Amino acid sequence: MSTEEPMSIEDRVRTATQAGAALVRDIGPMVAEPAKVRFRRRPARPLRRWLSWGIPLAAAAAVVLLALSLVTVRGTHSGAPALGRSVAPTLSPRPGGPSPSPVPRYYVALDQGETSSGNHGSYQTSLIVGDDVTGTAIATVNPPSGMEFLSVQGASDDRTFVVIGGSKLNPVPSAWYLLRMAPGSDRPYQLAKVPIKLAGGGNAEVLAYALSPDDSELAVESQQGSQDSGANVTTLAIYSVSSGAELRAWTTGGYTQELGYPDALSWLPGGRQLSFSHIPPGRHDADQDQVRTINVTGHGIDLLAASRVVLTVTDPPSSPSTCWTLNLTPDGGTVICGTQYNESADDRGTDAGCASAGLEFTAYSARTGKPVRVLYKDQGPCSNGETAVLWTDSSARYVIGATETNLGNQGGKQAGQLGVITDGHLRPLKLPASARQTDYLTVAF
Amino acid sequence: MQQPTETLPTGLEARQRVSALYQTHALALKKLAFLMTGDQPTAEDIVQDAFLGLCRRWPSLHETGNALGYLRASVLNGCRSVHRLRFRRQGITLDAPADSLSAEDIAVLGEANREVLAGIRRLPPRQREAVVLRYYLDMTEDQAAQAMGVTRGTVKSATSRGLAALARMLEETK
Repeated sequence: MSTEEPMSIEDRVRTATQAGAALVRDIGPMVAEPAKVRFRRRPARPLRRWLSWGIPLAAAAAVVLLALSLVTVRGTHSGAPALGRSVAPTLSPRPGGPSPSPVPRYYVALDQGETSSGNHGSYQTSLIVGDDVTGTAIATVNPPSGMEFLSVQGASDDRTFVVIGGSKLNPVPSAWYLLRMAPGSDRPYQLAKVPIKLAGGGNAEVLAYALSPDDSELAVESQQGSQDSGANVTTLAIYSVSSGAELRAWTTGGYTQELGYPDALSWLPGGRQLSFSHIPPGRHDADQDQVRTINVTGHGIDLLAASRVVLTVTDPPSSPSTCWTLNLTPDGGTVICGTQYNESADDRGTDAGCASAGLEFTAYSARTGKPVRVLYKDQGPCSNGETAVLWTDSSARYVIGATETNLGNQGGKQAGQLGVITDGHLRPLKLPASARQTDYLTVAF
Repeated sequence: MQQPTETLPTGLEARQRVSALYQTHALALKKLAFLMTGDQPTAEDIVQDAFLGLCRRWPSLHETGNALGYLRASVLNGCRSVHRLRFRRQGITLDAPADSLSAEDIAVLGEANREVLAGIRRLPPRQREAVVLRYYLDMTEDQAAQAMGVTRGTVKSATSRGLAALARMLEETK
C-alpha cells in the first residue's frame, strides 16, 4: 500500500511523458531525398523568362479585371443597401434583386498554407482575405516587417476585422490593426494600426476581443498573473480605437479567475452591453460555464459584481461532454453551446460514447436557462472532438460553426467541417484548405 | 530597421546544416511524436517527413532560430494528419494498434504512467498538444502557442481543459 502523497495531475503528466519518451532510444539515419527535392522545386530559369514578359501581360489582365470589377460594383450598388451585407445568392435568393446575406460573405484567416501538406511547419505570417460564397481568395495581407499575425476577429459588419500582431522574435500580442475590406476596388483592403497598449504590456495574455458596433471602441479581455498573490487577474477593458486610450476597465480582483473561452466576448447591439463567457471560481474542472453581460456605462470596477449572469450550464459530474464555446446571440435571447467530447475510460475501444453523446450545437433560452433546440448534430463517427461557434446572427437562425473530430484512440483519422448551420444542417463554406487547417479559431467572419 | 537575423546558406552547405540539426534534434522530436501518436515507427516517419520538409523549405527560411520551430510545428502537424497521409499514400488505413508497446516497454512504463499516456492520446488534438508541450517539454504558454500556431489564450484554455479531462479519465479508471 502506498503512503505517498497523491501527485498532482500536472506532475503525473510530467512523470508519465518522461517515462514514455524514455522508451524511444534511437532514430534511424536521415532519409535522403535529393532527387525529389530538386524535382519539386520550380526551375529558376523558366520563372525568370516568365517574369520578363509575364509582368506586362499580368498588368494588362489586371486592368481588364479592374474594369470588370468596377462594372460589377456599379451594378451591385444600384440595387443593394449602402451599408448592408453583401449578396450571397446561394444562401438567400430573392427574386427581383440582391438581398442581404444571412451570414457574412467575407472572411479573414491566418494563412496556414504551410501546414496543409503535412510536410511543412506552421508559420502564420500572413492573412487570407476571401469570399466564402465563391471560394475565391481576394487578397493576401502580409504583416509589417518583423511582425507576424497572431489572431483575427470579425466586427459587426462583414468587412471590418481586428487583427493582433506580434514580433516574430517574441510573438506575444503587441500590435493591433484594423483590416477593412473594399472588394472590387483597386485597394481590396486597408490595414491600419490601432494605437492600443494593453495595461501589463507583454505580460498580459489576450483571451478575447471585440470591436464595438460603431467601430469606435475595442473591448479586450486579458489575463495577467500576479507575482505577489499568484492569482491570475482577468481584466476587461475598453479602448478607444482612434486614440488607444483605455476608457473603462473591470477586473476580477484578487482571486484566481478561471479561464474563459477564446472568441466568447461580443458587443450587443447598441454598444452599451458586452457579453462574455466565464468559468466560476472553484470550477477548475470546467463542469460549470456561464455567460454574463456587463453594462459598459454602469458603475463599478469589479468584473463579476458589475456583470450579471445570463445563463449557467452545469455538466453532469464526470461527463465527457461539455460546452467548449458558449456564445450569446446579439438579441440576447439565446445562448449557443458548442460541445466537446473527451473519450471516457468507459468507452475504451469503442466510439459509442462519442457517437451517442454527439458533437452538437445546442441553443439554450437565455430567459429560462433550458435547452430549447439542437441547431446541428454531427452524425459522423467519432472518438473525441469539439465544436465551436465562429459567428451567429441575431437569433441563432444562422450560425457559422466548426467541428473537429478524431476517430481512434491513437489520434487517428481526423475530420472537420466549417460551415453555415441552419435548419439542422451544416452547409460547408468555401474556404481554401490553407485557411481551415489545424485550427478553426484562426478564421474570422 | 534591419532585424538581427542570420542569413542561411543554401545548397550543399544547407544540406549539411539540416543534417546537423537532425543529429541534434531528431531523437527529441521522435519522442515528442511518439507521445502524440503512441507508435514509434509512425513517430519516426513523421520526423523524417519534417526534415525532408525543412530541406525543401530551407531557401525560404531567413532566420536560423526558425529551423527548430519549423521542425516542431511540422512534427505536430504530422501527428495530426498521419493517418490521413497514410491513407493517401498507400490506399489503406493503418490505424495504430490499441497498444503498440512491447511487453518490456509495458513493464518499464508501469501501469500508472500507461494510463496517463493513454489518456493523453484520447484528448482532442489541441488539448493533447498543449498538455504535452507544457508539461513534457516545459514550454511556456508563449512557446507552446508559437509551436501550435494558436494564441496564448487558446493554449491556456486547451491546457486547462485537457488536464481536467485527463483527471476525469484517470478518476474513472480507479
